Order: sequence, then C-alpha cells, then structure tokens
Amino acid sequence: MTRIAADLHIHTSRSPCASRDMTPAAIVEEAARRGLAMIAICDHNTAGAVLPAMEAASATPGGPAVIAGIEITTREEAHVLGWFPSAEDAGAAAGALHVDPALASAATACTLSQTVDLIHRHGGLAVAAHVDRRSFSVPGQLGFIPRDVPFDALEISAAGAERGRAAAFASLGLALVSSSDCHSLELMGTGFTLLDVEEPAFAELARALGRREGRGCAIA
Amino acid sequence: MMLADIVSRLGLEVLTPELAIEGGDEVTRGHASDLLSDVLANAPSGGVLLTTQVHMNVIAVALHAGLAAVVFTQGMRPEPPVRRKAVDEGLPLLAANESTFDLAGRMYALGLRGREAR
Repeated sequence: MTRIAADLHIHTSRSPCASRDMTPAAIVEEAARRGLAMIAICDHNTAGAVLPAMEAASATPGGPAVIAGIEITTREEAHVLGWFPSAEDAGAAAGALHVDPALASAATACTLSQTVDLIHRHGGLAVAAHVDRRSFSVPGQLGFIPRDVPFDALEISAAGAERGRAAAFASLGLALVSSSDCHSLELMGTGFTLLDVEEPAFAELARALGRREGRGCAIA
Repeated sequence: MMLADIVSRLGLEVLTPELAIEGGDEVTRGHASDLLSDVLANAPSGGVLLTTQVHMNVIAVALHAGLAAVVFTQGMRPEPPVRRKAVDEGLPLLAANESTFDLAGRMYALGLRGREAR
C-alpha cells in the first residue's frame, strides 16, 4: 500500500470560469511537477476535456493518473462531483444532462437525488462539492446535507481544510476529501487528499472512499 | 393578519387541505428566498416563506425556523413526498402562480413586513 496525493477537482479551459492556459497538457505537466499521483478533471456539466487530459498524461513522463470527472450543477444549483471509471462513462453521464453548451455551468434539470442516481448508474462516485462554502454547495442551497442522498464523500474546500472546517462534517460518517477546485495552474494541489491505495486508479479510489480492504483517505 | 385571511385575500392554493389554516398566531412577517441556508439564518419566526425551492429540505428548514407556512411561487409545486412530510409535521403548504416579487408586494400591501433590520 502506498500513500499518494490526489487533487480530484480541477477545471480546464472548457469551464467558462477557468483560465485559458488550463489546457490538458499544461495541467498534467503541472500535476507531475507538484507530485500529484492522481488528478480528476471536473469541468462544469461536461466531460469533454477528460480524454485529452488522459492522452496528455500518458505522453508525459511521471504524469498523473487522470480520473474522469464532471462537476454537475443540480436543479437546486448545488454542485456535485461525479468521478467515473472511464471517460466513456463520464461522457455518457454528461450526455444525459442535456446541457446547452452556451450555458455550461448553469443549473441542469436534474434534482440532487436524480444527479447522484445518474452518477451511480454510470458506475461513478458522487461527492458533494465544497460543502463548507456558502455558494453552490448542498448546505448553502438546501440548509443541510440530506441524509437520504447516498453521497460517497464530501469535499471540503482547500481554504476550509486549512481552517479546520472538516471536523464540522465528520458526524455524517462519510469520507471527507479536499481538492483545490483550481481554475488556474498556480492553485493546483493547494487542496488535496491523501489516499492509501495499491495503485492510482479509479477502483482503488472507490475502495479508499469506502475505507475497504485496508484502503483509506485523509485530508492533510 | 391571520394565515387564513392571507390565503383568501391573495387567492393562494392550499396544498395541504388536511391541515387547518384557521386559528394560530397572527402572521406579521415574511421572507423570500430560495437559499435554505439563508432561510435558516434570516427568516423571521412565525412568518411565511415565499420560495421556488421545492426540495424536501424546505420542510425541515421551515420547521427549524418556526415558520407559519411555506408558499411556493411562480407555479412551482413540490413532489408528493414533500407534501406528505409537511402534513405529517403540521406545516401548511400554499402555492401561487405569481412571481415571488409580485406576491411579496401583495403581502406587503396587506401589512406583512420582512425581518427587522439588524
């Protein structure tokens, strides 16, 4: 078992709010430079940059494992991360959102429960994004985290993790992760999760969040 | 003004006919928000909430905030489980097809006010 650092919430230039230099090649080079063994590409309501990032990573010496992700805006305007086994799974889930490309980060028609269900039906892991922030978070939009929504993990923002906000969410019994949610290269890896895994791969990430078979995850 | 009077004066649809809306305390305040964290922080106890937020959490948040009723605006209607939960908890749910802005204006004209400035 090895302990790796993972930054599982990274935007590319396909997100309207992200810097234009967030190209797949630049992202994987920066991740390698910062010693991140795993990253997840999570653009708003699209998985379009996932495959290019995977290709760039395999062409980069020391490149990270790239997890296929999407940051979905639910009907309630809460952000939920989906991490998927493959780019195809992520693409299929993104396609089911029926998003107007001109409104990339706008709310989809999927409720929170439908969104989590959609992610699970495509083999993915559902994570409530930046739950310590007021904007576009499940607690911000809905007052609290509903117990009947089967999240696989809760994400604490980098700033929140630094200020010890994770403790406030421990009582739900869910895995806690932290990510940079970076929209520019210089912030990559400012938030990260430590994973105890056999290898940097999706199946191991799933075991780590489930804290199964000796795998685990922690916020530094 | 009593809740039943607000309902009849504004022609609100009653989504929870199982619950009596007559009686209770006078309603003097209201709040308009779709952010339930904001409702928890700012809605005045005993007031009515105008919202387009139909997620199940609106019931628990309204109860925690001590609201007299929730009014769904702009034609929004919650799913049946939300309505059933409200009936179980004794929280009247109302509905209107008007915009939140217009309905808040008509409630203001009836004498209701928002939370006191802090």
